[in-house]
Amino acid sequence: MWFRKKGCSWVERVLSEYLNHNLSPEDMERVGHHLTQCQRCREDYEHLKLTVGLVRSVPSVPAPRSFAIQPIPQVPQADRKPLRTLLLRPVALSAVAVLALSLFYVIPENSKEGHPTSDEMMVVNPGAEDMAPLEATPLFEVELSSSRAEKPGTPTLESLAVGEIAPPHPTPLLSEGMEVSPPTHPLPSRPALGPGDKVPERVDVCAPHLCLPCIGRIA
Amino acid sequence: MPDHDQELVDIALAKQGDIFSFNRLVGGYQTRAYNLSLRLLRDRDEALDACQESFLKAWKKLKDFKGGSFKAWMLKIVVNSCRDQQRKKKPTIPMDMDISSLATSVEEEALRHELEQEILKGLSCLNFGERSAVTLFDMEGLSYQEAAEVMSCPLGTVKSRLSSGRRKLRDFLLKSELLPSQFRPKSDVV
Repeated sequence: MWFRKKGCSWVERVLSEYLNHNLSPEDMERVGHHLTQCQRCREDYEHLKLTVGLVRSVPSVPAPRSFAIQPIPQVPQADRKPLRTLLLRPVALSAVAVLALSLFYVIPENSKEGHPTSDEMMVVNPGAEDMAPLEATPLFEVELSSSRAEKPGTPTLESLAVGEIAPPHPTPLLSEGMEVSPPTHPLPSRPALGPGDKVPERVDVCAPHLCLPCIGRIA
Repeated sequence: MPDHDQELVDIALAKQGDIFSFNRLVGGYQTRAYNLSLRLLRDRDEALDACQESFLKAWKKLKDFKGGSFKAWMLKIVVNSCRDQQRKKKPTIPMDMDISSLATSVEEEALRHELEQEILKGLSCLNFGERSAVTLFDMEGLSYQEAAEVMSCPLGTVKSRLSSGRRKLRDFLLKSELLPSQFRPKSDVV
């Protein structure tokens, strides 16, 4: 019994090789002899042989398409454009288009939506359009240096006085209680006034750089 | 000129960069490669992808071919591509193969056709190594040595995988009661 069991397991293990005639002649004879003696192993062998026959009979299917490799046409080196250039071209075009749109549409739209234009910024006091135009009457005369006066758009003291141009950096106004320190620069000399002398209209101040003490003097 | 000699000439020319010679080799092996991929992957689209990838790899690596069996070298690339393809996809329950893609003729006998379907379904129950061994040895007709070369494993491993794969297939067909006597091959399978 022990011998038969060992023989069956061994035969079962080498049945595939037996089918392929891939055993030594001695083993081939031993397996063949066993198969004549053992009904169960013979059935196994028949089933295995049938299975292998069926597997081998499965037809192959034609490939649905060709897998041939297409030769890449050789492009002359001069005609080739760098890949980076080709990739960046649409980016550059897009950037130009966005800039153009910004110039023609975005900026005017912004001005309509509350962003003051340069003309609107000239009006400091709201409602000033309804009023009569003010005369630019200078409150005082100053001597401006020529270089500063020649620069267009530079706020002058006159323009500051009539409020035509909003100063970029508002000069602090002198309020009550504010202590005025003496000027830190030498004031221009002026003749001392005696009794009955007429007060000259001209006031010497430290223009063009109007310092806080001088503003106090003017006020 | 015999086919083998022509193949050697094509290999030599393809090694020098002649793509037309290589495409002649492709034409000679594409059906075999496609069938192998189809049986290993059980999916038509994946098989097509694996095949195309295999021939591209072969073209790139042709200079590394040192001689010997070109068929084994080519099929080894196909098996490796299929293995890579199978690793990429998520593990799924073995599915029925697309039978319509396997039918060679619409006039094929219905019972025979059904049996083939069941055999292919049974193949999907095997693991990749067993399926490779059965497909290469029994379906593609490779020798043990060639199958070992294709599967990159020792000869004994091929034998054991072939044996266990055949037994599993037999059990599957027996369980499905698909071994009727009328389908037994007339000639002995040896």
